[in-house]
Parts: sequence; C-alpha cells; structure tokens
Amino acid sequence: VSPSDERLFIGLTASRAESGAAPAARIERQLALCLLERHPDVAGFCAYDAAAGDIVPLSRDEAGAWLAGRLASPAPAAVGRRRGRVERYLMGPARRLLLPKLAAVPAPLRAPLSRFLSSARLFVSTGFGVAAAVLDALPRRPAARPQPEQRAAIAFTAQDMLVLPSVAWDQPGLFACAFRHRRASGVGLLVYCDDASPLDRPQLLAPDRLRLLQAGFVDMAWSATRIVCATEATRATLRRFIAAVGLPARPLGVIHPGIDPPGAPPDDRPASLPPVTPGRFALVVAAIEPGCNHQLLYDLWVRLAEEIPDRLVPLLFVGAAGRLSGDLIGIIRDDERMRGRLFVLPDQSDPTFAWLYHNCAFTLHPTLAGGWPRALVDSLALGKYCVASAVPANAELSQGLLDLIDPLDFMAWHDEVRRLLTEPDHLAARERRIAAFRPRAWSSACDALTAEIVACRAAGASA
Amino acid sequence: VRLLDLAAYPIARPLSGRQLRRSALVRTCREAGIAVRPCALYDRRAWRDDDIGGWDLPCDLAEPAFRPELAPADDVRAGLFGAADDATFAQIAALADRFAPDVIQLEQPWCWPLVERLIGRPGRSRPKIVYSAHDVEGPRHRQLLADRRGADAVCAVVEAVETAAVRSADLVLAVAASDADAFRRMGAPAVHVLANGVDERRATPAATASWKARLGPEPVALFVAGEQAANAAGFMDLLGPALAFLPPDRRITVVGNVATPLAASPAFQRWEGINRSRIHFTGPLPDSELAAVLALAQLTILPITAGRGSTIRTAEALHAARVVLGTSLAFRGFERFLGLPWVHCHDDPADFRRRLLELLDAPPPEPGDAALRRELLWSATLRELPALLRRLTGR
Repeated sequence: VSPSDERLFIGLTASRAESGAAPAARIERQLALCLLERHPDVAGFCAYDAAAGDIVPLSRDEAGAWLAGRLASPAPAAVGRRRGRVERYLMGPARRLLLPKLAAVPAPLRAPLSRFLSSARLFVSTGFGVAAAVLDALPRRPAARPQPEQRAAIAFTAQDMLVLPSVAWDQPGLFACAFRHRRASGVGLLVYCDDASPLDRPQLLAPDRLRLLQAGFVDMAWSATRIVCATEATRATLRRFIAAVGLPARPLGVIHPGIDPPGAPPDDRPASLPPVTPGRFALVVAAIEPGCNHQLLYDLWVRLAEEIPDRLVPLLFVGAAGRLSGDLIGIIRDDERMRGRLFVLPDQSDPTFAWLYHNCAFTLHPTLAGGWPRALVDSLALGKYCVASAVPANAELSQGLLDLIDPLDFMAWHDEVRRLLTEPDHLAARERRIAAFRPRAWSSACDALTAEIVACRAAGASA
Repeated sequence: VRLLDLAAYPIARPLSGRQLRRSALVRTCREAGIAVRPCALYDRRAWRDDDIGGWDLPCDLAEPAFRPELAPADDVRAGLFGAADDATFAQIAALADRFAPDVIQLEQPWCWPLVERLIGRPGRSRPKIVYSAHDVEGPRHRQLLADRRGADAVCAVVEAVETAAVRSADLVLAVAASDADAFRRMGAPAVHVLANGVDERRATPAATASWKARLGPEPVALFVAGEQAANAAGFMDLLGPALAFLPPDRRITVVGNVATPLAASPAFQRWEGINRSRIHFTGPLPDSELAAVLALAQLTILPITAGRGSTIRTAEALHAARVVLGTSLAFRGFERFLGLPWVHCHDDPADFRRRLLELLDAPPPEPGDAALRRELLWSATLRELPALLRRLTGR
C-alpha cells in the first residue's frame, strides 16, 4: 500500500452499544489499530453516518475514542433506539437495584414478587410505547429538533480501499451506501466477517433482526470486492447462504483472528463476583441466548447436584442476556436447588475476566453454532480446559486438542463433566494436552489482511 | 338495444383487470347508444361501499354458509347462490323484467346458473345471451388450485358452469385467439375476439413530481397486478428464490393488491428481509398516479406463469412507452408487439432475471411507436362490439 494517491480507509462499524468484550468489537479494535500501525501514511478512519446516508471521515482522536468504546457513531441508525434508552436508563438500573433485594426476600414471597415486578416492567414498557406512539403522531416544529453536525462525505476514488474490520448489522444503509460508492468510483471494499452463524439458525432470531441480517448479508455480498471470514465455518455458512439466495459465488477468504487472552488477573476476587473459591468453579462466557445452549448446562448442573452434591463446583454464566433468555434466567433465579451452585452474571470488565479465566477449574462452550469462538480460544490460551461442542468453528480453532461433544448429547456432556469433577487425573491429563495450544498473534492476522488488501488493489487495477 | 350485464363483481370503482375490462365494455356500449344495466351479484364481505353501483345486489355467502366446499372459487358460489336463493333470484328477476333486455351479457361465466333460471321461466321471450369470457376458466382454476384439497370438485363445478355458458351463449367474446379456439372446441356456436385494451391515462404534474421523489433517482422496475394468488406465484417463480439478484440500489415497485398474497406467500417470506429491501409496495393506485409511476419506471415486468387470456396489465405496459419484459403467456393476444426493440420475452427464470438486470442498467428507452400504441386503446380494441350486438339482436 505504498503509492501516495492510494488511500486506505478503515471503516468503524461495531456499535458502541456492543460490549467491548464482544468478539466483533474486539476484532475491529485489533485489526483497525494493526492496519493503522502498518500504513500510518495512507490510512484514515471513517464511519457510516446514517442520518446523512453516507460515509464520513473520523479524526484519529475520534477513532481512538470509538475503538475504546467512548464514542457513538456519527448518527446511529434509528433501529431500536427508543427501546435501548428505556432499557439503559430505566429498566437496567431498576433491575440492578431490585434483583439483589429480591434475592434477600423470604422464599415464599419471591415468586409472586418476581411476577409482580415482571408485570410492572411490562406495564411501564407498554406505557412508554403508547406515549412514544402518541408523541410521534403529534405535529412537531422542526426547529425544536437539534440538528446533528453535518460532515462532508468522503469522495472515494478508484485508487482507494475501504476496509471494514467488522460488520454491524444495525446499520441497514451501510452496504447500500458502500455499493453506491463502488459503482460510482470503483473504490475497493474489503469486509472482515467474524460471524455468519445467525443465518444457520434463523428461528432463534427476532423477525426484524432476521430481516436486517438477510438484507445486510446480501448487500455485503454485492458491495464487497472481497469478503474475508474469521473461520472456515463462517465461510461455509456464507457460501451456503449466497447459493441459497441465488447469488453467484463470491470470493471469500479466511483469516483467523489473533488471540489476546485476558492479561494478569487482580490478586483478589473482584467485588462484582459471587463468593467463589479459586480453582473451585466452572466458567461459561457467552451471551445468554438459545444458540449458546445454556439450557443444557443448567439441566446438567441440576442432575450433577443430585448425583455428586459434594463434588459439584459452582457454575458461572457470564454474558449479556440475549433474546429469549428471560425464561431460563428466571428459572435459574427461582430454583432453590441451584442457589449457590449457578450464577448468572452480566458482562464483566477485562480484569474481572482475567481473574475468572485464571482461577476457574475449567470452562464450558456448548454452543449450537457460532462464529469465532473467542471464549474457547481464550480458555485454551490460558491453559484452561474447555468442554466444547462439536461444531465446525470449535473444531477448526481448537487445533485438535479437545474431545468435542455433540451439543445435543446430554449424557456425553454429563459423563465428561462428571469425570472432570470427580477424577482429578482426568482434568490434569486434559490440561497437559492443551499445553500444546499455539495462539495466533494479531500481527500474523494483520499480515494476512494486508496481503488481502494488496490483492484487492491488484484485482481492482487489472479490472 | 338493451343489455343487462351480469357479473359477480361490481365496477363502480374499477381497479382490477377484470373490472377495467367490464367497465370498458359497458362504456363502449353506452357511447354507441346501447342501454346498459350493469348488475353485480357481489359477496358483501369483499367490497367497500364505494365499489357498489346502483343495480348491484349483495349476497352473503358466509351466513349461513352456502356450498362451503366451493370456497376456493367464491365467484362461482355467488352465481349458484343467485340461482338457488329465491329471495335473491326474485330481486334479479324483477330487475330483468323491468328492464326487458334484448341481450344478457355474462362477464365471466359465474352467473350462468342464474341466467339459466331466468331464461327458463315460462311465458317470456328469450333474450340473446353473450358470454364475455376473460379467460378459459377451467384450466386456469386447475392450475390455481393445483395444491388445494378438494380442488377436483371445485374445478369440476367451474368447468361445468363454463361449458354450459359457452354452449348456451349466442355469442362468445374472447380476449385472445387462443381462447377463442378453446371455446370453439368446447362447442361455442359463435366466437369473436375483442382484445384487452387500456384507457388513455395522463399523469398530473403533481403526481409525477411526488412519485419522482418517492421512487428516487435510481431506475426501478414496475409490477402491477391484482390480488389473485397466481400473480404472486408468477412473480416468485420467475424472480425467486429471493430478490438478492438485484443490487442494493435497484428496486421493483409493486402496485396493486398483489402485495397481499405476495407478502404472505411462503416463497416471499423465506427471504423476507432481502425481498422487502428490494421492493417498494404502493398498494392500489388511482389512474393518475399509476400513469405517473408507469411513466417514471425504467421498465414494466409481466411475470405471468398461469392463465390463458391476455391481460390488461400487458396492454397498459405496452401503451406506456417504456420497456416491457414479460413471459410468452403475458404477451398472449399481443404477439404483434413481440418484435419491437423495447419488448422482451423470456420464460426461463434465469433469463428473465438476467434481462431484468440488463434493462435496469440500460439507458432510458425511446418512446415506442405511437400509432401502434393507439391500437391498444379500448376505443380501438372494442370498436366492433356495438355492431356485433346490433347484428345479434337484429336491431
């Protein structure tokens, strides 16, 4: 990427709302910084401005703030904004305030009180919905609305290259805009896609989310000069999707992301964690949603609590509550048998993750499908055995060091976890085996991405 | 000449193809001095108040349920109900007796059982019967209802009613030569082809400006169709499995009630996110607005894969001086237009989609041959109708 008239734009898309721990945000940050470091003279940052319907430049300070999770996009898409505000400013704080108090309420009162609070939440949410609909219907003076700052859109040329180190599906106009630029100027577009697995399990998505994803993936296929996938599994999913919707095959590469497991842990257990003993708990790091298969682990812990109550260690579910997770979380919360044995925790800070990984006995990753399995590779990189499901991405990234288990085979999970809990030699043997795990460095991923950019430019020049 | 025009649908607010044809037939007769009473025996659940004309009669097929096994073909139920229900029949008979028509014209065959009972009454002279066919209904229903349970029984009734209407009519009016051949084979004593046509429509500047802003600067294809499930099926058969073959900046504007069966079809819903991102549904449009959209579209598509008769939408598309892309079925009755440079015909879905993409990216078309387009006006296609009726009645 040397001639001075060849500019490299790094497009930031991962939403600020996404946790910094989310794979997409992590990958975006690492690849963006890596690319900037490799191409300081020609690289710049940009983002999609939904209000303007165009791609606008970001200063390096803004990009730094964005990548650190401190800057919202220039004009976030309107999808779900109001719901997000109600959740963020009202429901979230209320939940954080009330749930600990609910735990202290006498057991016979807990279930009816929980139902009352759920009804109250529904009532408040509905009330806001009705009020919002009424407000939307009222005529408003345009002057009352604050006008967002307008930025000049980037005038791309055929020598330019736009790289999206991650894709955000909550920006419906992003790829249509990129396609328009590609059609008008011939700018090259390279997209790094870390996860296409929702396409394999549409039944688990909210209908509006599914519509957004379907259109987004098709627009991406149309607008990208080249798509690079984080795993072979993601590439296979994309290939199936592209064929199923009747598009001609697209060039799809694969570059495994780097691995940067949590660093040194704090000495003491962080205050946000329940009273677990180092080495005496199991860990699951994943958003709580049906595709991540937490239900299997809940059932498993219930069974093991009956069979080996004295050997069973607490299990910590750490991750954001996703779609259709409410019932399971409610069941766990209300299950007296699991009190002190199962904990549901929201996303944690990096130091807390470090403490959890370094001090857990082992981790579990029973996902039914998925993109880049960050929790699995972090676990292996830190020498913690991971009981993982036999899905393609796990097989691809675990370097053949795990005995992967069918995510629907309850008894196979039962037998393996029971052995890990009751036979110390079994866990030790597993840990010796994963000592051979070799984490990929981000610099290596960035080398491969740079080669893809060069190839894209060459293809564009010869076209 | 006095003509009683019987149908199972009203025409006070003509929007669908069959309404437009019936409305044009009535207007042509009236303009030629023929007295016409358009009377529809309509299902009251299916129409709005402003759809109903002065001589139309409602019937309620649901309460109590009448021949529920024929529900997939409500129109034929209406005709059978009119003949079977004494109160309804008495109202129509009174209308007929007061008007004393020289000709009873059936729009589609559905009211044949009613007409059969009307002309079977003793002591009255038999008016001439004209069967104004819009399609060959038997095969069309076999195709439409292919996957429905109980379809055989429904189709048998449709075929029986159609055959009786064809054989009993003094004159059968067909929309295409191929239909005329089918009716002759069914035993029609006399058949004449009156092709479908179109009204001269002019878009108002305001409608044009408004639609220009709504459609945006990128070229769009236009699909205009009514609510028959076959219209939606043809669209998905030719353009499916998904509209992913269209780039993100290309759209199909879908006008008319076809939006309902299209959006509800499993083929559409399978990839709903993609399909909705490339479709602009407008719903039914009044004439002035449809004219504006027709004039602004880069091309009109006619993805017709079922039916036999010629469609009014084809006439509209050909008359709009824009590029037209359709199937050979869509151009039935309009074969003389097929050699024109702005008319494209493909039956293979892959070819259809490929040509659609090419045409969306092509420069805007030159206006077509104005003289040829004038042949598509109702005033031209129905020119012979009044003379035919006078000859038939000897007046």
